[in-house]
Amino acid sequence: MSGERTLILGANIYDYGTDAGSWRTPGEDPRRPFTADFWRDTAHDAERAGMDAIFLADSPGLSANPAIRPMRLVEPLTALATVAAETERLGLISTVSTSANDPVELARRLLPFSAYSGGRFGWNVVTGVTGPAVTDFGYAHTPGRDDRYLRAEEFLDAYTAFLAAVREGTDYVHEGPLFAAAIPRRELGVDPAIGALLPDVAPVIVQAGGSPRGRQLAARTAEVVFAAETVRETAAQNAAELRTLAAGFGRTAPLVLPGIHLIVGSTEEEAERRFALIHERGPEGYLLQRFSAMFGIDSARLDLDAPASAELARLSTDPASSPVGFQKAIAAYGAQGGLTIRALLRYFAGFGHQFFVGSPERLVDIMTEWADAGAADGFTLLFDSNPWGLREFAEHVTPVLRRRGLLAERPAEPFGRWVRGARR
Amino acid sequence: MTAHILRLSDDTLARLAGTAAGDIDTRRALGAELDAIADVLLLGDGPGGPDRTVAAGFLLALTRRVVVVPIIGSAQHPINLGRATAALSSLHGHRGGIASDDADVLGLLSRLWETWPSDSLIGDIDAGVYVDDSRILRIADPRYPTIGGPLTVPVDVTDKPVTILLTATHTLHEPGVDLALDISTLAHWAPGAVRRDARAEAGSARAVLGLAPSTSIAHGTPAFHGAGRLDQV
Repeated sequence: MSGERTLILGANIYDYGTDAGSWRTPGEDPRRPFTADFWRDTAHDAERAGMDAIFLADSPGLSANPAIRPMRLVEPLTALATVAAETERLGLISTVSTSANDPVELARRLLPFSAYSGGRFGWNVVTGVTGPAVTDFGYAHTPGRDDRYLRAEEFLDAYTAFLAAVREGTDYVHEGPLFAAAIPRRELGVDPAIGALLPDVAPVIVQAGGSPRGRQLAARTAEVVFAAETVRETAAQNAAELRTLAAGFGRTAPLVLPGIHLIVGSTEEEAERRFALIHERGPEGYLLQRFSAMFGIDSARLDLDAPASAELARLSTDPASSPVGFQKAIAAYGAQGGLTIRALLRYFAGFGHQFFVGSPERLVDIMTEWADAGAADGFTLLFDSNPWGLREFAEHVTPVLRRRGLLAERPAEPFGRWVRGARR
Repeated sequence: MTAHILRLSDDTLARLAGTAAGDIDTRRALGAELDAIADVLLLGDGPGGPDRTVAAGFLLALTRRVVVVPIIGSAQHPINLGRATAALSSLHGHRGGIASDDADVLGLLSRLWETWPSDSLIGDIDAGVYVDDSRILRIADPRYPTIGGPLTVPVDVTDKPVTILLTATHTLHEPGVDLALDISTLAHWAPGAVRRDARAEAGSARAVLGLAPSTSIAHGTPAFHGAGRLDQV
């Protein structure tokens, strides 16, 4: 790797894991993610693996029937408080949806969280709300992409204005079409002792949106982007475009941390066996159903042995609730490799992120190539099964990263501060 | 037993953020002190105001036996509040609860905690059966017609988080409200206060407060059960 740049690494702990079969990991107790010990152990595993942060994905309600696939269950701020209590340096990034919260109420929650963690907190801004939660949060139907981003844009404006009022000790006023409030300075609801810790306790803004509007929002507001990318050249182009967009807003570009769903083994064959051990425990037909839903396709119409590019062009309907970044990333991988739908379905085990099964050395080679190409400042790592995947990473990949000088000794300052300092 | 309940003011909670953000030894000392000063910590000056659920999460993570009950501050959505409280209770040995002057909200939360009964979790990894999804419910509360869950965290219906109604009249009418409390009668904690015996066994909030097991009060319909299950991915 050229220069002296090191990689920023986050562990995306998807409770049981990213694979749909993860809750059936042999020898693990499916009740364990509901205990503090699971999160304490995860905290220590992440530190041992050389992670800079733990990242928790989330949905405000059950986004799927847990009888099919249990996921995104434990509320992330509660889990991360346990992680924070066990660690001193690890960053703590929680997903929170703008469609299921109020900007002032959320700011009143996130500021003390960041203060209690010592300025180590990041907010992954998402816009989604699905399933029964749609009704719970007062929507007549699932909000479409434009409506969600309209709300997210104003939400972030109101949230930012509230943080400014707390920091400066002024009244808060926001008059917008979706949010409107005027709060005198003495009733802001954030203790001055916490307000005095700004800007260090201002949550790092993380975003993952891959639609044109999502990328605009990231360029305008994000400090870190959790990108869905599968093709290095495309990722480098997108990162360069993000830097240009951010400059257009007069901002330093966000750090770009693409996701990698990874399974490692000492050899390629061992990694394949390890992948199959968990993956084959997933529900039959699950990947095809998720794939079809993401592209808005009737799965019965898919020819599994047809070229993926032609088949997606013929059948895809771009449903408004689907994540555009994942759609684009998966379609791009199919096109680049000339894959059939069947071959692309295997790759879709990473659900839109780069999917890797192989040796630690080859994984680190890829990470290095991506960083050298300007496609990544680091990576958000997703493991098929927790805690297995993170522990295997610590055992097999971390030593390779250390040998190659890719893991940094971070400065003794809060996560939020050094992340902001690392932006280019 | 009569539980010893102490209040932690909003000022104190803000100051504790500095201690909680310190090194691990400092945090552990704080946790040990909080475990020793009371059986129950009630967080906040009163209804409304700043959020205290976040502080509750950190204090529960730092302690091992004391029960921690935040007073609902600014208007957090009941689904988010119910989910966070359920998660805290599950992670920390049922040592959590919630307090408010709004009996309707407490009743709604108590019902939401029945949307995923923990004994429906089967977790048979060999057979591939995670849960009896016919028991995951969307509940109906006529005072909140659009809110029904289910929450994302299983809850033991016999050991739900405690719900404390803040009132001076000490009358209970709302099903799902466990306890009425006049907070003006409670002392505030000051760091360095006289310690109690912290060696006592940890117990659930209900046991510490001398409450009977909670019972089911919700009515609901299955949220997922039925045909087309693979559409529910």
